[in-house]
Amino acid sequence: MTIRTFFKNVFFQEILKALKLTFKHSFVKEVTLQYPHQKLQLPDAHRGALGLLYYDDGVERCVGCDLCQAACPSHCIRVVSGEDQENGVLRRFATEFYIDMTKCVFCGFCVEACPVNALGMTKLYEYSTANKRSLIFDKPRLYEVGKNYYNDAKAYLVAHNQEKADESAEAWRYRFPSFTKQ
Amino acid sequence: MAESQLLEEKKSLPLLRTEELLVNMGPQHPSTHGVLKVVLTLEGERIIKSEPVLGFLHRGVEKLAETITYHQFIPHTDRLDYVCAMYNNFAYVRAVEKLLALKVPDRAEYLRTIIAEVQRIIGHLFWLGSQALDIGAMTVFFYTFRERELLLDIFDDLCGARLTTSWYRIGGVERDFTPKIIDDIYKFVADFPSKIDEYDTLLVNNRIWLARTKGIAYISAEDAVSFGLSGPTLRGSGVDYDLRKVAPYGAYDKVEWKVPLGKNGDTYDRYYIRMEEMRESTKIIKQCLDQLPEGPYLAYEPKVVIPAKDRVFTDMESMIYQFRLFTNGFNAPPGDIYCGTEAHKGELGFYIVSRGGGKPYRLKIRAPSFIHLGAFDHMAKGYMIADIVTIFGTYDIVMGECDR
Ligand code: SF4
Ligand code: SF4
Repeated sequence: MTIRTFFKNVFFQEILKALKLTFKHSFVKEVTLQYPHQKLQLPDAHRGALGLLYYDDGVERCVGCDLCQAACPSHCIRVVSGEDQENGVLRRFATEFYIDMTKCVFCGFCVEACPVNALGMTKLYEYSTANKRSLIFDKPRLYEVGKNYYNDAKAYLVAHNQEKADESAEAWRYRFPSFTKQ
Repeated sequence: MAESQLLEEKKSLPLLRTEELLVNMGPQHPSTHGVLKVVLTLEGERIIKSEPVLGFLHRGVEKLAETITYHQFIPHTDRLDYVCAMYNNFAYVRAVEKLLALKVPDRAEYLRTIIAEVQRIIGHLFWLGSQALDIGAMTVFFYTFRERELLLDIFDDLCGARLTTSWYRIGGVERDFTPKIIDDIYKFVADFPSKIDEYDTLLVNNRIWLARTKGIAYISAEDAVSFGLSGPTLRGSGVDYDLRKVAPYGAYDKVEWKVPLGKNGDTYDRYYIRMEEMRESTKIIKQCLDQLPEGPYLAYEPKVVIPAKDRVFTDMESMIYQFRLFTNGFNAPPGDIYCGTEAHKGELGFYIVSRGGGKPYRLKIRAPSFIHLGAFDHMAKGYMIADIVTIFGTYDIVMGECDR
């Protein structure tokens, strides 16, 4: 053993080196967030709770085609579709719509599948509850989420190449002939 | 080595009545990385037999795959090895593409390679932090998780989720890089080598950590091969086998990089390999980003690949395919294929038997963690009971993948 390694061993040089490093770190900027007080800025692409969307003029987008139900890998969507005839114009919609949030894996496949972009994922993530039943989102709740977080859902659709941010999105809309909301 | 030592010690003992002790370790032990139980037979403090008991996290994923379409199975692969979801996605979509003989666009290959390497860094960071924590070095854990967090934020930006990513698609990827993501990755890659040196400072000189890793969980090259080990666990014994080199996929053959190899086949060598792999990964990522070609990120193959949304809106045919693909899936040709991918733990393989139709007839996952546990008894024999934590840590086991 040379003198050098002897001193290295006696003075625990490696520990001192490591301590120097950790000491330096007490002066770097903190990277943690104090969660309930500070919140993370979520990116547009974030896959949060699902919401159903309205068109700008307040018409429900969903036409009750069931494709989201078929696409869901965890089988947590249930759609009951209906149609009615108003002034001789056929209109299709979902009479009931359930998403079981306890089973949802937030994959976004339902959004990808929807042919009218009726579903959107929002940045909502704080909806924990003591009542498990209330995690089965029904149609009014989904439309409420979609309404309150419309901008998030829109940003999500744009970020995931589901919808364009420009006017052409409006042109793609499926309109039933001469149907307007009463 | 360890066994002969054990015998020597046995001989020198005075004639006392000794008996073997059976200890159950786990399934709730914090260092078993999930729910693994090991039945240890001890003689004094020496392990003479260890028997892993698996299945506490069995969810029947392979069976589940038979009931849903190929495309729908992608989110389920996230939950195999929940530390490295991207790699599972990658391995799975590669297997399906091989079954379909589908060609992926160039840009998609590069994007896939970049993200796979980012995921490899995350996996190794996670391993390093938790392994050091198991041994008692807590600081490393905080430092590695700090960097891991940066990468997970990139994932969040890219696909909308940090862990359960589902970003890979059959025929490409779900979403292209935005300029912000490219910038973030460049920035990370520039900083990261200095961070690796930090971890090195904390560990490789530390004599306690060295004493607990050098010579622990030794396996010889022949044994490693015959147990079917792969990844850093195999390369630690000096066997030069990396699927990225042996059967290149993605853009791995278009960039310069080396396969780091160990000599001694112990935990320290595996540590060394993982550190070097992180350095190599940064190089791969940097080169891929520099070379990133223009072009589509998803193949245009209407019968198989889900059509782009703007086509669905404007084109009746795409709309019909959209409905067909999401309800029945594509019609896969009958046959069976195996496709292995080098994940950060080892070779992650998917074996698919198809009898035509949209669902696999049988899907088998060759999970590296599962195969590695087969060698556990062999590698743990003769060591002290305090070393068992290191021996667990040496493979980088994730039980979600092991039990499936
Ligand atoms: S996000 Fe995925 S799991 Fe959740 S409802 Fe949509 S398709 Fe189903
Ligand atoms: S949300 Fe979309 S996919 Fe689901 S039923 Fe409504 S229109 Fe069809």
